[in-house]
Amino acid sequence: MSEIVGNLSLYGGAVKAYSGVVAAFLIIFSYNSIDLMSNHWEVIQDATTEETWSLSFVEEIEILEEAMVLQDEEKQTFTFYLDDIDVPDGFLIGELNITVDDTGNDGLIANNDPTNECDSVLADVREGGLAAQWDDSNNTLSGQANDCQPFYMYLRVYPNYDGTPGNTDSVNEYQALLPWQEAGWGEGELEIDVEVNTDESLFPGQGDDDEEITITVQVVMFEATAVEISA
Amino acid sequence: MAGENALLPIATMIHLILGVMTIILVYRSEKAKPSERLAALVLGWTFFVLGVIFLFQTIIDYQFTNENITTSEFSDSFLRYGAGSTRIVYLSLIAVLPLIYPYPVFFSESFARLGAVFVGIFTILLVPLWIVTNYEYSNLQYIFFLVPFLVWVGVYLRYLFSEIQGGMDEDRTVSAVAALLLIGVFGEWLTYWLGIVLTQENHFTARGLVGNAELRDPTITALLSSTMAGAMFAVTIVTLFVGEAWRTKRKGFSGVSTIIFTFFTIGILWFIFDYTQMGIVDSCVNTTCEELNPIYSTWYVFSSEIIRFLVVPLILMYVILNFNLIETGGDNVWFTRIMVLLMLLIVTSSIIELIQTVLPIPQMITSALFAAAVVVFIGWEEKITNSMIRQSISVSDVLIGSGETGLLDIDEGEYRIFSVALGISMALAMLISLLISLMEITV
Repeated sequence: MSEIVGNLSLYGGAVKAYSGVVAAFLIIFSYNSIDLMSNHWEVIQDATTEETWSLSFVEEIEILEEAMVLQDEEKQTFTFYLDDIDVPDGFLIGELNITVDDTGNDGLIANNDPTNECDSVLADVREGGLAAQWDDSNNTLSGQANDCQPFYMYLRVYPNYDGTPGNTDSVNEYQALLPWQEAGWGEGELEIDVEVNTDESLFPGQGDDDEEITITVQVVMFEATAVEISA
Repeated sequence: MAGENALLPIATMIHLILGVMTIILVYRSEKAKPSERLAALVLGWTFFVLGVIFLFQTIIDYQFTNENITTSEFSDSFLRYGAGSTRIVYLSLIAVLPLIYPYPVFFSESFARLGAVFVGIFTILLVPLWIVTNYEYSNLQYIFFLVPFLVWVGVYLRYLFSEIQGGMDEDRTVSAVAALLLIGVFGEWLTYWLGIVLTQENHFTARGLVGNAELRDPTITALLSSTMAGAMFAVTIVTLFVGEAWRTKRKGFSGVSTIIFTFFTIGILWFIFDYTQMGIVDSCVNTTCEELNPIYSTWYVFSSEIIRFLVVPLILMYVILNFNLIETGGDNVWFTRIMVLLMLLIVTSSIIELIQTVLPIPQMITSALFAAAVVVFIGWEEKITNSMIRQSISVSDVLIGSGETGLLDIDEGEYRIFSVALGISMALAMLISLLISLMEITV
């Protein structure tokens, strides 16, 4: 063995160079280890350890309104262009609350004249024109009324959004918020078909054969925030 | 997981064929120098074991690409355990080879037997240990790389100095072989040297650990072991570069220096390209893992994967044939020719296929190119084979001639013992992996 070591260390320059190589290895190994331990290890652990995050939503509301006078048995489509809404930075469209109101003249007449029956109003949200959760079980996509009262419909736009705060397990804030950052939902136009059937009053001259329908769409926009609540 | 890797099946075939043919040729090379014959046997088994690793990777790649398996199913599958266990056998072989070749540091007639025992013991110990600890500490096996690093770098420097300062030109054979073996074993890792030196590579280590967290939890052991290996790779290529630059100044260019300069330059390119992707690389740790840029991925295929799957076997085969590790003349000449031709044809077809994945060249043209390559190879078959074996100088001849070592006398039965022991080690590795995957770990 000593013969082998003696032979391999025959050249002083080679031995010095070899010592330099070993020293360089130790130095590079050391500072890389220090860099990893001080700059990366904690982040790696954070990125691989799930924590519980409290999710909450900040909401902003935008109101769209359109009114139209419909004749008896007339059917009209109300169109709302959601792309025209000025959605604040970081916000996404979550849900739409739709109110169909015909109380403008009917309700007044009915109040003064108990014999005057209310007109019948039917409304259907037309599927497809808007990127939304059309198959969501919470949706109310059609409605009708003949009691001179407004009626309400609902369309969920963003998947699973109902504005309720909750908890989620995730490795970091980004991933906790990831399910609430999908762009594209709410793009397009919302079309609502409305049909009116007017009723005659028993007193001549007090009946009407048209109806003013007002549809109000409350656009609920949200921004999700996540706060770590446990390690 | 990314799309199916086109090179993996080809690499599997190349390595398995080279392994089997090298092992056969070792047994037909009774006149070769014993230490070199044993080195060829170790290299033959290394090829074979690498072929098995690539076979596992091919199947894993196929299963994930076709969504036949989920990550959780894979986590305790035979595919994962088998690949991991075979890697232990491979790394043990890599730790054995430098002790006998090119300089027989462990000069013993029982080397084959002891080498086989070394591989066997580590296989039996580490295969179950890594499986039950879910491979969280398996990076510790990179310690095996210390042997080639410390021995081959030492041998390279010693014989570089004796060639240049001592004026012993024939010593170039020893330093060239040491350099080629370092490239052959460390492969594409050498091309990440600048990133390692400037700590940029640590971002990739972090990404790797986070990206794999679904399979295994990151540990400090894994982190430090990767860093240790990285430091070895970086120092190796820088040493080879400085050494070859010095030699080139004195003696002029050589094939080996060209290869080393190429690896060194690719390292600089890798650093630049990596730097451009740091946002994506860090995304895994900071936010969520984003896919790498497709052009960057193509560069990875054309540099790292080609080195790993095609250049490394070519270099190791060149060492086997050119430095007389096996007998290439006499009855073996046909075997050698078939081996060389097969290798060249496979490499040509895979490069053509790779080009086709990037450039929209019609299949008719690539088929014509391949046919042309076949014609050239057949026509120049003798010339190509001869150029692979033309130097035909043996390292043992150099060392024995200068009186630095004696002729190692290894009994014919020792080679058989080595092969049988390696076969048993592989079988045990597979058996343990299979049984544990079937039993399922409940601790």
